[in-house]
Amino acid sequence: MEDQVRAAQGGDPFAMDALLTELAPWVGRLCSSIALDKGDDAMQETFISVLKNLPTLREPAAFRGWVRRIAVREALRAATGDRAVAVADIPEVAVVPDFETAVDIRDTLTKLSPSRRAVLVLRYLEDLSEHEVAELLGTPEGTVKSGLHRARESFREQWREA
Amino acid sequence: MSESERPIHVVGGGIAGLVAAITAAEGGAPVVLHEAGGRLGGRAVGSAERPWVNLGPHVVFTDGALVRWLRQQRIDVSMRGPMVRGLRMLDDRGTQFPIRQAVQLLPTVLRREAPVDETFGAWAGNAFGEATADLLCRLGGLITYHHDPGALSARFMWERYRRSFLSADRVRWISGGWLSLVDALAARARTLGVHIELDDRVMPQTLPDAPTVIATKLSAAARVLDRGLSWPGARTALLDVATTSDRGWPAVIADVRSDLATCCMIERETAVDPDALGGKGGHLIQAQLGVAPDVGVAEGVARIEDGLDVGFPGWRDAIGWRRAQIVVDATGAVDPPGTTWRDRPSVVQGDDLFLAGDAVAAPGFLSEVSVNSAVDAARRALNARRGRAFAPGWPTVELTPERRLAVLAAVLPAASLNTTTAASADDVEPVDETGPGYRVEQRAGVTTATSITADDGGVRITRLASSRLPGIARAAVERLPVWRRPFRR
Ligand SMILES: Cc1cc2nc3c(=O)[nH]c(=O)nc-3n(C[C@H](O)[C@H](O)[C@H](O)COP(=O)(O)OP(=O)(O)OC[C@H]3O[C@@H](n4cnc5c(N)ncnc54)[C@H](O)[C@@H]3O)c2cc1C
Repeated sequence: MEDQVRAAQGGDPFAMDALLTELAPWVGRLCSSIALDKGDDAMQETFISVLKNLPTLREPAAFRGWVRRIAVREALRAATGDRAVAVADIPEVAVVPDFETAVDIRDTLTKLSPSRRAVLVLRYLEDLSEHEVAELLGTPEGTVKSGLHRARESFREQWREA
Repeated sequence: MSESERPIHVVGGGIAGLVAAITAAEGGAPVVLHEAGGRLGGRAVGSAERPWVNLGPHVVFTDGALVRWLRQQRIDVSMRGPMVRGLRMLDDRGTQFPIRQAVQLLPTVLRREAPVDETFGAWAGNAFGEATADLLCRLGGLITYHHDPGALSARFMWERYRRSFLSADRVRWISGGWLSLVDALAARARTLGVHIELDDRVMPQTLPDAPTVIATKLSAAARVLDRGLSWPGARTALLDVATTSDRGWPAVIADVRSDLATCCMIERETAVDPDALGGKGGHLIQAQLGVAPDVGVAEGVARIEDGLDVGFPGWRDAIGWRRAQIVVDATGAVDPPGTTWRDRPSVVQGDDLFLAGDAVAAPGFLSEVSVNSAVDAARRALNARRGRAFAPGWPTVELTPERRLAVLAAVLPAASLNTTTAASADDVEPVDETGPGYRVEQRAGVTTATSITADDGGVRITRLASSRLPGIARAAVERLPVWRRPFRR
């Protein structure tokens, strides 16, 4: 991957294309878990931003973390651009997702605000620590903690314990 | 074992298995590769005693999935060719330069497409007349290893004919034989931490936990998965001869004499690659002839030797080593009329089991089918694994070929996008011969990419062009015809 990153930094279109292939499943899940229906737009914007700014990335080893940041930013932007559901209106109801068949996760996510979805995604899908989540989102750790706490309540016991 | 340590298993250590293992490992998964034999490479490695001597004549195409994938992965494999001289045709009048045939085949350059439903023989007869059709069908043996290429689907044959004869300048030989390709793949797999188990034959009762990629021949996959999986292939007689001298022999003889419905190809490998005998000195001649089911080894090989007697006079007195055999379903799938690669056994077999190999539903030529299906299977296995490792059911979205082009168009210099529609995907089949629905190419400083998407009833074709060249030079290059040499190697 690092070789590909370097080649793509040099403008090699095959390397860029290969990077898209490698990243797509991961970025696709990140973006659509946060931006839901706008996930495909968010993914497209993420990739454009990643490839455009690639020459500024100094340490190819930091690539994944850097892409994650961009993806979260683009997903939040895509999600909040959609004013159909005002953040304040989102009920914090307890929906019990069925983890075995896992049909309700999406349903549950729709009932949360985009930024809370981002917290959940980073903590549980990406396995970041609360500290890392706070740092990435630029919010105080306490906010992440309380957000997760409430989200956990709404997901009940179904979530993997922290 | 925690879910994030759950490996992807790959069954089979041929080209398909190695490509799948590398792709899966690059995607971040632990990978275990199970190979029944004592060495890697499968059909790409000739025999235990002389592994550097390929199992019959083997070439690669620079515009094909194998070479492209190697380039993308930056796996260095040295190649020779194209071969521009030394081809002779052996027809009923004797051995000669293929000038008459080249002239006869000239009109075929203009035909781009052929139908799926007709036999190649019938279609070519209508399109070019009996005599030319006859020659075309025979020559088809060079690329299909089949005893009766005229009976196969016209589309299937035409795609192969156009790629190998009209673009003969893209043909390459791997130096040191396919063994060096296998060694390079194995080295990369090991670097990526793939755990390789040799002498480990997987049985239905020892099928490892999914996600698993089965990268064996279809017959073996059918046994392992205990389900019907089959597709027509070819039956081919092979003769390999190492000689102590070279008596000014030609490089390639295409024996198209009229007792055959196909062609017997005799290739002097050392004419292209002096290392074809593993640097051991001497000369290597490899020949192949597609034979019908009722033809035995002795009969098939006798027919090959007959061509050698005419084209390589004195060869019998110079034999240092000789190997004769018939291989069955070893040269990849052939598509009968009414079918395309899409109809072959699918990569997706359910329950997170995936198939890869050269007779699976993927585009390309010969081993390119193995590469395309292996990459596809490994990506699907990675996705399945991510789905299992993390909470399943998290929403996800795919990067469609069109969006991928939109991304590249936004970042490549001076890029243009342009979309057209066509009545059916069949009309544009050659476009995706090296990757399902999508491909990137580079020529004379111009990068082009194409995607094909189904669009109610028809297909939408999006093309991207990008170049760092200044406007005028770029316009000139884009207008440049793709120069294709006539049949001449
Ligand atoms: C005469 C000839 C000429 C050819 N010419 C060309 C050419 O010019 N260009 C080209 O591109 N291709 C050519 N090919 C085709 C090319 O060799 C094959 O497409 C390619 O090698 C197939 O690779 P694979 O990995 O799909 O299958 P294989 O090489 O068959 O690999 C399958 C592997 O799975 C292993 N296996 C089987 N069952 C099990 C089990 N139960 N458990 C574990 N392991 C198992 C086998 O031991 C084997 O190593 C040619 C083939 C032949 C025979």
